[in-house]
Amino acid sequence: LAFHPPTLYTGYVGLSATFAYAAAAMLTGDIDRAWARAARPFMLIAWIALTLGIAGGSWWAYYDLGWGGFWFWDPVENASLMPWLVATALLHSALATERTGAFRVWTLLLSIMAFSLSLIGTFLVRSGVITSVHAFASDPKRGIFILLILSVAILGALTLFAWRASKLESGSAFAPVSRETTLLINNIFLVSALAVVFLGTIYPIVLAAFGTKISVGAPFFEVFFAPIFIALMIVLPFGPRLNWRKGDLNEAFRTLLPALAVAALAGIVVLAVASPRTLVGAGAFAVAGWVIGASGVDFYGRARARTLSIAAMAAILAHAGLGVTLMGVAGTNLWRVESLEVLAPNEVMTIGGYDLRFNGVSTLEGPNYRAAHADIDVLSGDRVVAHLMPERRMYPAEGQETAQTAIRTNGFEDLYVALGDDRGQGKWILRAYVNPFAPFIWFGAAVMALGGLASLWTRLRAMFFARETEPAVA
Amino acid sequence: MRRLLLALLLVSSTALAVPAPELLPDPAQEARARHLQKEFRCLVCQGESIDESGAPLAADLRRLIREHIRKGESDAQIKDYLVARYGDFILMDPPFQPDTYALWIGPVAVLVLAFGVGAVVVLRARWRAPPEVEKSETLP
Repeated sequence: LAFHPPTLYTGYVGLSATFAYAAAAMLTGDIDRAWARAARPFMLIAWIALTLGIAGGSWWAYYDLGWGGFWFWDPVENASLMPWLVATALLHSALATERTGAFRVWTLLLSIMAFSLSLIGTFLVRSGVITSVHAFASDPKRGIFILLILSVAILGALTLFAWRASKLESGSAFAPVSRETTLLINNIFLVSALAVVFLGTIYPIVLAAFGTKISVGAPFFEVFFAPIFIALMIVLPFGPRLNWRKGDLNEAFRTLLPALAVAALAGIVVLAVASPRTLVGAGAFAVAGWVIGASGVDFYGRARARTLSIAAMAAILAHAGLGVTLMGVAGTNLWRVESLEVLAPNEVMTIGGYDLRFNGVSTLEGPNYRAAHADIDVLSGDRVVAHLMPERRMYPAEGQETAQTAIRTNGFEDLYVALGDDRGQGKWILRAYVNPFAPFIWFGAAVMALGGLASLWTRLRAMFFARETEPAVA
Repeated sequence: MRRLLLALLLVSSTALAVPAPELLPDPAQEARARHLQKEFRCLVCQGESIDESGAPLAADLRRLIREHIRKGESDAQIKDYLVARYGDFILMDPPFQPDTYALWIGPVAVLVLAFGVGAVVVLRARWRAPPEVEKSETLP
């Protein structure tokens, strides 16, 4: 199940190619639209890999750690999120660079930052500077080596940047209401989100060097990260509706009215149906509806105008996917139900409309582990509708224990059961959660990655099969 | 056999155990305890709060919190007690004090600064040339 580390490293490697392009541009002093077009496939590959890697990592944490959560703001998780935030900013900034030549110097700086953060992430994870639930074999010697590479790459690139940036021709003309401005706002929010994650991850390490131990946990990250992303997603639908150089805000807003209706509907339905009733939840679902609705507007408009292409699907899918993921994140965080009980065989616990009958625990011998294997029936009335078999596996050779949670999903909510401690006399602790909208988190990420793939596909096709024509911009 | 026992001993100290329910009889008090234990960090397993952790220390701390609640102490009193005993490190959220000003103000400062720079960029882009209006095509 641990396919996420190689996927993440693929993303890091993709960013190293982007970094090489940036270094070349600084050395030759030549950064133009052709540069952005040439570097884009690597940015896309990196971004797709990071998106899938982060989603895979969070699924792994959800399934394997048995805490019911999917994101813990653990330094190792943050190390993968930081390059993703910059890569996302980079994709959008480079779009403007490619199309109108805007933000050239900034696109270069983002290329440098993205790779630098991959290196910093590698250093954090592998050097032993942090201890984490993702306990890796790490040794300080390797840490010093990574630190050396990191300093050479980052300091070298930044020196080059400081030296050459002023010589690079910069600037293009655009009106305050234009696609460029929305991309700029996108970058402002993404960089601010990066600052939150970076400060929260690095600050305790720096303070520890001065002898003060503090910890920065989930509440710190959430209080800043959530509003920034919500603000980003409120502005997002305007981007694709505004023209380059000069757009028409009224016209954009008019075409987005159906999306506004979807947003209002989503908010009202959540207020009416969800319990506990929360304004935050209604707001989150309204924003998700707004973004997904806007993607729908784009899709419908293009389908009617017969301009729907794979290239056009890229932004439509990526943006809609973000909205879907927001529903998942908000749903699980706001309406999770959890229950913890000690059960003897044949006892029943009730959680969120499910009755769980505990049939007892048996011991299984695996090839290299011994498992405590629980058997649980999910009841509807007297009828058994499903079996759940959470396990705890003990690997004597490694002295490790893993939790195999049992998850039953209907696509809209997960029933999630983890086996706890043996309380003797056949009694065991069971921890059960109902996580509403949890599957949306990973489904949304997959849709986002599909959007990236759509863009990559048109790029590669244009590069390899139609050299003589200008590639479509996506 | 001895090696196996040793391994099992090691396992039991770091096991991913699900917390044992030392539930308080009063549901309101129990809810307070559940809420409080999300705010404190398990000191031996950095990523987790004592709410999530299966470490024995976390179980002890959960029991400790409930003892203090039973004695009728307020949340603030319990928090002060734990901080006095274990230091700021036990708080999931760092306190707002001189050595964390930069942490708490940093994100807001970056946001304000970024908007300031962005405004300058947009204004300069407008003055640079009268924007030529492109044909109304909305390619992404």
